[in-house]
Amino acid sequence: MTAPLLRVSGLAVRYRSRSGDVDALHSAGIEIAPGQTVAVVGESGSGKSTLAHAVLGLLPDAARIVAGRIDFDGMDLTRLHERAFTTLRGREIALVPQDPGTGLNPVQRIGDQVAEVLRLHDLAGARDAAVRTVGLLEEAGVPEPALRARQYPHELSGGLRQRALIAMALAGRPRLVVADEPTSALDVTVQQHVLDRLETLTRASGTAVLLITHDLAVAADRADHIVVLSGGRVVEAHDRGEVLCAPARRTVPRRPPARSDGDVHVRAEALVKEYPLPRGYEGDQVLRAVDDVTFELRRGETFGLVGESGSGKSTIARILLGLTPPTSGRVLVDGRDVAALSSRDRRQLRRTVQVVHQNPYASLNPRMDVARIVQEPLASFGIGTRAERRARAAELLDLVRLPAVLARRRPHELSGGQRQRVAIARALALRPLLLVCDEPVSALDASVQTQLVDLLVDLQAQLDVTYLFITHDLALVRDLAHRVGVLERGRLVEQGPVDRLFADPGHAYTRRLLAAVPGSRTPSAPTLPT
Amino acid sequence: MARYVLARLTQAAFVLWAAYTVSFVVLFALPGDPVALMVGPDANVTEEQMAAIRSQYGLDRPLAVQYLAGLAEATRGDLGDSMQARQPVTTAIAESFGPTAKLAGAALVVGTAAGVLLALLAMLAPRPWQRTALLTLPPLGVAVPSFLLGLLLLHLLSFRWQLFPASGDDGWRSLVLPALTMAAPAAGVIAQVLAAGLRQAGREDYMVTARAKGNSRPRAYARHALRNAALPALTMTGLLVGGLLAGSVVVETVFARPGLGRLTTMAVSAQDLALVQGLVLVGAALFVLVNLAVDLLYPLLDPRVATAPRRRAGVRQITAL
Repeated sequence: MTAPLLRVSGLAVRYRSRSGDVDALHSAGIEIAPGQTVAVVGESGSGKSTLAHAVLGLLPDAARIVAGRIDFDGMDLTRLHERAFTTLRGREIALVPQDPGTGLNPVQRIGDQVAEVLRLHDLAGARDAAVRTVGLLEEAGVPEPALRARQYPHELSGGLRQRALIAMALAGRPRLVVADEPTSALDVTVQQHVLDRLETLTRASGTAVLLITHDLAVAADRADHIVVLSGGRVVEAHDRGEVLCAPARRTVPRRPPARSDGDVHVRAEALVKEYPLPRGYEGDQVLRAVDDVTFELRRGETFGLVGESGSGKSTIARILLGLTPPTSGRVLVDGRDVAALSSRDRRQLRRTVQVVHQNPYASLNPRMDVARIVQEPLASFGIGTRAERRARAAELLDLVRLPAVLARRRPHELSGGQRQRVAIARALALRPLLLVCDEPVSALDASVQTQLVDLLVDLQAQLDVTYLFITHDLALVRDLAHRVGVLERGRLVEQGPVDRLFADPGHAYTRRLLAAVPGSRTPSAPTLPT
Repeated sequence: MARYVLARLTQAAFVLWAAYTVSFVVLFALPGDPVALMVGPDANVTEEQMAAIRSQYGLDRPLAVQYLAGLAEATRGDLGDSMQARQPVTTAIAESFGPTAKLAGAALVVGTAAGVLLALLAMLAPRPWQRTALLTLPPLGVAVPSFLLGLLLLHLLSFRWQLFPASGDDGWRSLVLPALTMAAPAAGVIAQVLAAGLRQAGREDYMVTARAKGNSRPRAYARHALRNAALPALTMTGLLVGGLLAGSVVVETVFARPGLGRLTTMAVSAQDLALVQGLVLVGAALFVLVNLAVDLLYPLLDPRVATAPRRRAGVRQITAL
């Protein structure tokens, strides 16, 4: 191995907080040779983001490096003066941040933000910077770069924004790029394109990459060397191609008890939902978010609805929940058309259909304690006395396997997985017949995802509740769905039993989704779909 | 955009109409005789003379006629005659407008500059205790009543050290003390709101991106956080203009300056109803104009305001593709 470009050795970082000091990293070490890609894998709380920020010298005020060195090109970055570090950032060490939605300044044009790197490091004059920015955007795979450069972040999709962030990181031709979860907010196919582009560009320019990810499969696909962090320590290190022995997700999918015998519970018939487009938008004046979608949910089964963002899956959920009326088509529950119900019947129906939202951080009222959150549906339907509701809340917490002591806590004191359990308990409070789960685990770590999927499968067996499980993650669907529907741009292009769909995908789009699942590049990766 | 401006102008017209109507109801339609108020309880005036005055100001007409005629005249820019000053209300207001505009303008410029500076310093001071110390200043500026601050400034800078004149309106030197007095609470409010905005912006991901590009901490705040944090502070500035007009009543009295504040004091104490109503209308018009200007500035600061007036989230995704 050549002399390393970056060597982190014995690094320990401590956070000071009100409840005492927390060590985010204990004696962590990695090495990256010039041009090499090294992945640091770990779950949230493993210290991987702390490592990334320490390398960039951008640790928050509360954090302190208590031991160790970060050697970059003969300098110890932990001792580097802030002024010297400023000239290094963007020029020698660059960052591709995690979330393309929030990583760009919302009030500055894309081009100006990319050009700023060139201007800051005196790599170009004002006019030259603008010209080179367009070139950089083009390299990063942004179509119509001259037009995009003049747009603002909110006018671009997530994938394009992430490409702009890559253009920005590579603008200064740095020797090291720190990519902090660069694609975890993106759809699988977009994720694949963005990672391909990053890999092509960094290989061409000989740029080393420190890839931070929670996804072992992404790491296995992309990195020359993988370091697994857990609890602030390096627990494993592997070279490319070695079998990974700490799978983030179980290798054998758990199968829910097979069933196809239930009566039809909900039937969505030729659903169409159109939204008017703003004036001045060329082409069609309406957007067909849902286009002639028909499917059935049988009692007690799980129907997985899979698609990328913008495919219309959340719109379908909103229609089933009665939050949005369809433009045409109808929803039948137990054979009765929902639109024809009286408002009283509809309110009763609403009791039987509940939802678990995607983001457990936003869907729980931060000012209520857990017990009140879980009781709220009961209170709003006026069910039971106060004491009965409290008893029911305790029962529900037990059902989702949360310790009773959490009842008095508030959401911010809970972990993501615990919060989502609270959301599930709340959804089950009214003993619903149908539970709409809208990406319920996609914001969580892999091992927490597994636990929640297990919980949902057990609850279904126990309570005989029907699930509509909406996700962009095909591997998840395999773990718990009986039947699957694949959505592409509002159209249900394929549906069928989960085994058949995975073994023999009939539609080109389904095959493309399957191929884009991370881990499909390396045969030894743990999440390989068959 | 044109449609947006038109909608806002319609709204502005409505606000002015409402200000006229409410002030009419309060001043003229409620029980009480404006003429009796004007001449005072001790004056030796016969019923005939009272009636003559009433007909001179059109107060003998039915209320509905007075209201509609007054409204029609007001839309033409005629606010009636001041009973006390014996001149058109518009003339009286125009004469006082200049000094107050100068004072409020100076106070707004100084207050905004001081507020922005204070907020930035409070974010960028190298040591935490310095930041905390700087952040205690804005509430102080808001909490100290302006008559107290005015008297304090008078005492120190005028009487003791004789740096600036204590009263009157001649040249910029006489403007310094009243402008400082009015600027202090404005600076406090702006610094408070802007500091909160900057602190919020400082936690955003794009600030990490900005630092990672090679911006120093001060530069990242000035170039990236400031514009994002400016919107609430701008809204506050618009609201402050109303506060400055109200504040001119106190400040112009303390410093014995001519202006709208003094005119208001005089009109109210003399029960000059037409003049009071005229001042209410002018105040409302100024407030509406300034806030319209603020609204039109928004899209320049934040492009998301201009391009997405009431667009649905789902549609926004499509235009982003």
